[in-house]
Order: sequence, then structure tokens, then C-alpha cells
Amino acid sequence: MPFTLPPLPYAMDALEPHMSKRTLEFHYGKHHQAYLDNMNKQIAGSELEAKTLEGVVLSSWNNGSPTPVFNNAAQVWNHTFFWENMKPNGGGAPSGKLADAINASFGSLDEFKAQFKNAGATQFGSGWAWLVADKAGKLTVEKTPNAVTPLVEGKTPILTMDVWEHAYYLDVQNRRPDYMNTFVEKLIDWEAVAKRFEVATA
Amino acid sequence: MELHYGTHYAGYVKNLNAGLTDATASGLKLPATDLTGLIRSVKSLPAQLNTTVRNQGGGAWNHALYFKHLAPPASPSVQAAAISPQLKAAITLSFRTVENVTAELTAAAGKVFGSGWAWLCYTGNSGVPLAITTTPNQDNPLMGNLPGAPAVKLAGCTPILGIDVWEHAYYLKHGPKRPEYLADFWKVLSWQAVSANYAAALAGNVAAMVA
Repeated sequence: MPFTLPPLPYAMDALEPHMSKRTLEFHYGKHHQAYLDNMNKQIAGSELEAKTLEGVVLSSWNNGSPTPVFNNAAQVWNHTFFWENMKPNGGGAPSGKLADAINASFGSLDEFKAQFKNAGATQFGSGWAWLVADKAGKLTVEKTPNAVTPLVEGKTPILTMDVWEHAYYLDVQNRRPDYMNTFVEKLIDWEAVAKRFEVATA
Repeated sequence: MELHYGTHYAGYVKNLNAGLTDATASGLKLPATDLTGLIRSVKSLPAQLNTTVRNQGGGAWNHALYFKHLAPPASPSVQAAAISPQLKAAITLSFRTVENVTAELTAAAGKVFGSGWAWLCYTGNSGVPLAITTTPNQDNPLMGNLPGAPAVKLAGCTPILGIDVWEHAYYLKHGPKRPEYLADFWKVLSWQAVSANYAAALAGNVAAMVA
């Protein structure tokens, strides 16, 4: 059975003015869709079709010698994760156990934000910035190139930010720092992140 | 063009200069003082400067080559007739026809995943003087194979034509449609400049390509 894309959790224009409708039309409607269509073509008729998407990602990672399926499968997974951790009128601050964990791991929310944005800024070329949780609730910021995801290291991400140019070029052109500020201050769905944190530390 | 030349390219030059100033201020002696020499010697540089020269210096070199070999679509230099006899002979030996080399370069550029470049390179091999390779991010075949990075096909070859496939090269005009950008690219590619690059490569004067 071919995989399908979950619908966007919100309307294409719902994240305006922070992320434009045009960006989402391209980013979800073209980029994410193309990764999915290409992955489906690549795995058609193979045993990968019977796996979960995560299973396809891990299998095609092939212990660090990724097959051609990996780039597409991982990008399908990464983008679904990305949409899910944004919401209209997002931003603000986390609360409860997640807030405590951020303070414990980084010292403060501001320090976490600085490290997260630094990861995004220093991922040269295309890639992703991540917040990762271990079972004990320790949080770390990571960055990955292209399609790579902390999943392949057996880690549990709870937040991600796409820093491929297509994520921000229509809205702020080369100004990746402006995009990252907007993402952190106006787009993050901290409740979604908290839920992932709960699952990660269960 | 305004953003690509005025901001991205300019940014690479600015950041490279800042990095070199910092390094030499702390007493480091550079193995070369021209951009091409620095690119070739990136592997020998200490860690911090190595990354700056690779990313920012690579960006500066690559974009210098790129913009130098573009021309207005009405210019005679973008016509196949502008290909020098020397370059034509090399294309014939290596690809048989101009159509073949542009098709293969287009295909290579289309396959690059993430940010990077597709290159037509002078191999130094008189039997097959030209070949195609790709590099990620702002890497460049002149850098050779870099530690920790996947091996580059034809590492060390001399690029004479480069196609930028970072999304910033095409996103404002074409959105995600890289194939349409590639089709447009050939309409503004100056074969006259590429011919000059080939002559420079043969003469061992790589720096002239980005001067």
C-alpha cells in the first residue's frame, strides 16, 4: 500500500503573517508531496511497503550507508513532524515538566532558544535543527544536514525547525536568522512539544 | 540576481575576509594569498580557518566563476557558435556533442540532493579532457577529497562551468521547479566565457577564471 501524506494540521494561510500561504503551498504541496511520491515509486513492490514510515527511514538509513530511498523517506517523516510542531498563534513559553526540563538542561528558556537558533544558523547548506529528549528527560540541541534525522541515532526528537532555504526563502529570502526568530517566537506549538516530551520520558 | 550577487555572494566574500583577518591577526601564516590557492590548500589549514575557507571561500570562488560565465540571453556569447574550436574538440572527445554535455550536466544538476553544485571539469586527461561531477554545499573539486566528506568523483579536477543548485539560485523565480531553472540556465550561459575558462585551465592559470 503506498504511503499518503497526513493533511496539514491547519489551513495553508493559518500561519500568516509568520509563514506565508505561498510558502506552505510550495513547501507542503510541492516539496513534501514530491518526497512522498518519489518514495512511493522507489518502494513499490518491495518489502518496505509493509513497514511503518519510521521503519522505512531506519531500514533505508542502512547503518550510515543510506540507500536512495532514505532521502525521500526521511524528508517525508521530517516534514510531517515539522508541521505538527507549529500552530497559528504559536510561540509563548512551555510549562510544566517540559519547562522544568528546559531549565534543567539549558539553564533557561532564553539559553535554549539561543542554542537552538545557533544550531540552525550553523547548519551550512540544507538541514534541520532539533531538540532531542532522552528517557531521563535530559534535553539536547542537535543539527543535521539534508534529510538526516536524530531517529537514525536511536534518539527521540521533540521539536524540529527546517533550515532548507525553501522553508524561508519566499518570506525572508536569505535572512535565515529572521525566519528562526519568527519560528521560535511565533510558531512553535509548545503543547505538541510537551506531548512528545511526555511520550519520550514515559 | 540582486539577492544572489548582492547578498549571498557578497556575504561569502565578507565572511571569508573576516575569517582571514582574524586568522592572520593571531599570527597564522597563510599557505596562499589568492583565492584559488586558498581553496586548493583548504585541507592543510587549521580547523577553524579550514571551515571558513571551505564554506565562505568556496562560496566566493564558486560564485565568482558562476556570475562570470553568465550573459544576457540576447548576447552572441550564449550561442553554441561561441564555443571555441579548442573547447569544441574537447566536448567532441568527451561527450560527442554539445547536446550531450548539456543534457548530462542538466541531469547531474537535477540529481543533487540538498545544496550544491554541478560542474563541467577539465580532467587533465588528453583522451577524455572533460567530465562531470557534483559537490555538496560550497565545496569545489579543487579542494580535493575532504576528510569526513564523501569522496568526490574527479576530486582535484578544474571546474570550467558551474551550475548552482542551492535553492537560493532559483527559488524566487521558479519556486521548487529546479528543472525549469536548469532550462533557463542554458539561455544565459556564456559559452565564450566557458571557452576562456577551458583555455585558462589548459594553461594552468585557474585563478584567471575567477579574477
